[in-house]
Amino acid sequence: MSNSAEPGALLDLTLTAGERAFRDEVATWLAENAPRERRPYDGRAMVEFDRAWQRRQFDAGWAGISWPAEYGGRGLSLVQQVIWYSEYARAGAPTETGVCFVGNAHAGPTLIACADEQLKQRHLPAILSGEEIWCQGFSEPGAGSDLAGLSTRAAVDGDHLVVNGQKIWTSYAHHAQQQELLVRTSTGARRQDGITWVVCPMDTPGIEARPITTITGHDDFCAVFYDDVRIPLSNVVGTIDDGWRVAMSTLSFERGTGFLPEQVELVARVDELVELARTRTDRAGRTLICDAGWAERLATARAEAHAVLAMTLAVVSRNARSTLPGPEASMVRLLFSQLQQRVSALAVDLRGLEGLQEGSPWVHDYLYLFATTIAAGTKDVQRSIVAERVLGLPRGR
Amino acid sequence: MPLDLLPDDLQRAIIDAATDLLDPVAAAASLRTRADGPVRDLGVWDKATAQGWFGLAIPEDAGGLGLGTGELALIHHALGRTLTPGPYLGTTVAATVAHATGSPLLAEVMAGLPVGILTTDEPSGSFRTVDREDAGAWLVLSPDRAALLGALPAGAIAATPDSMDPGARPALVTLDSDVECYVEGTRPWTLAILLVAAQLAGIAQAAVAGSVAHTSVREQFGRPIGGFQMVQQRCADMATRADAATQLCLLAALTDADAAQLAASALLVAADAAVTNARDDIQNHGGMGFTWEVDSHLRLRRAHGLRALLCDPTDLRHAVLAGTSARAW
Repeated sequence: MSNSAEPGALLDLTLTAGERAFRDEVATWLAENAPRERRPYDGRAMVEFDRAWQRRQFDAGWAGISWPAEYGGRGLSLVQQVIWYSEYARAGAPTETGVCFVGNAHAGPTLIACADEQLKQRHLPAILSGEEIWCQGFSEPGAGSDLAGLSTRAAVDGDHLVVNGQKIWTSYAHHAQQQELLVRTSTGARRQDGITWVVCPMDTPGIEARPITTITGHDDFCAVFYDDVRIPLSNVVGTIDDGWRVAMSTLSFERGTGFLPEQVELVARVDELVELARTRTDRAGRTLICDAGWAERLATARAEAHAVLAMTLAVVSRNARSTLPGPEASMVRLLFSQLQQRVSALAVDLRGLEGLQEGSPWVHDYLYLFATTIAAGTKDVQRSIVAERVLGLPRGR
Repeated sequence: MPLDLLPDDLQRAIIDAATDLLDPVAAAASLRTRADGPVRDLGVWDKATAQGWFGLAIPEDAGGLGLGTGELALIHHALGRTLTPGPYLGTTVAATVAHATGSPLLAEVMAGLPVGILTTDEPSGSFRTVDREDAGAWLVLSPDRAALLGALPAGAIAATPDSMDPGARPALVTLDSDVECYVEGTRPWTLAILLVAAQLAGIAQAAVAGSVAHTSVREQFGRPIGGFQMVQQRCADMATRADAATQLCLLAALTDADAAQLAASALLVAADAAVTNARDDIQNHGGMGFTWEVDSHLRLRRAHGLRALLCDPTDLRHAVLAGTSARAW
């Protein structure tokens, strides 16, 4: 429709012939290889499911699609990433946050950005192949949204750090072999000073991971205790006391594409609910979709799911042109996380009493998705980021 | 890079030209006085015409600028943002209808002949418009067909009570005979839905800007109220709504296949964003927000007027829920 389709032109959704061919290749591979069965909710079965899927992607060359080729990645362009993630979700591949998530989306990119060659060689291939599961030792009982308030201490003793303290809400700590651990090595002028980012092997003596049962009834995360845990100084990424910068270097989450699979999948999820409302009837035999109340919730959900995709595409477009990712991603996060919750509530509500069936996918999703407005910055913190960094309002209290 | 929602240099230039031309202060002043007669500012209209706004998406060999729906959406976003009144929507859509049908009116429309919109009024069989004093031609618009009519006899147009939107001049229009020059097809309707959505997204964004400007300087308890979390959180939600509406409008504008559902989605999201943000902006202004002098209520009025312009909520929901989800890429 626009004649601005020549290379370099913007405000444009046109794919090149090469990108269309790539899309077809990806769609074909995913149709043949994406797991058909639903992901188990916990235990060994879940771990093996996630690892097997990671391994299958790795063997076919699809693991680490945004990572540089020298570390076993695919080194795809941003557009190809958008295509890959979109087709991934359209193929029905698992979009739940799996045990390989922290390694793929956070620890790996951090190592690529900040670690020395030895750490990269040791861990990156193992992350991509699914051999190494990682967890994230950031949050503490006294430091959640206020991450810089962390107090787990580490003292330098010869060529080791000696760690004492506690982490909490550590997803899959009881399944992980490695942890990206933030510790306090000194107290500087700012609280962000004096934090160190270190690779902590989870089999080091003195570590205890106690699973915590979540509101879904599953053991998704742990409290982790550190009692004189000795970690070689060679495991420090960046330098001692410079861990805040290291941690912040990858919070951009793959330049905005990180949540695309879940976002595309949400559109499909709404489609299923629209279909359900077209077939379920009330006592008078009318289909539920004829009811204005249901229709409004469904239409709003579908329209907002489209909006989330559009906002993400705008963030990706913006990030493609700047070295630092902008705070606009927090607006996407705000709408997306709350929309996920509204859609999962709709999935329960539309089914009446049947919708309450314990152990059903819709009850699991409804409860599990309460995490989306809490984890990775609560919606309250996201709103403060939007107010102060997008809108430039005065700093709040 | 394609799959891109940011404007390029040419598109930026279009936005800048619109921003230079459209004066929100003058527009608000004229709306506030509710003067009789045409609502459009003739000087602004002539300059917009000279810049080629009404032929923006008409191919160059037909005398237009050969740009696309994305550029039209940017213009209408600016019209909404600045609350510019006048039959910009009808004239823009009429040009595409005139081009598609080979109508001799095309040149006149691109040269600034203002075109009002007529929508069917069930069950009376008459038509409704909000452009009663300001149209030299008429566009009959419905979801699956459109027709372009010349000037109507004065007796055909019966004014109805004023709208809460002072930029609207409502009337009931009765035609002597059935309209015979319909062209079938959904494109004019979809374009109109999309451009209304773009205007509403612009209003939503203007409400954010109004609230940020005010709460950054208005002090209570010894500091700007924009530093209070309750106000911050409300502004953050407003910004999120405005961004959702704006980006979805652009995405819908760039999507060729199955654009109807995305345009309807954009209207649904943008209408909610505009009305809700206008309401929140009134609240953010405190006592001043309740006054005639502050622009907040003008955005609320226009938001309601645009939301109801083409279809009611039931029709809109049906359009969004039809079929399976549209794909943009």
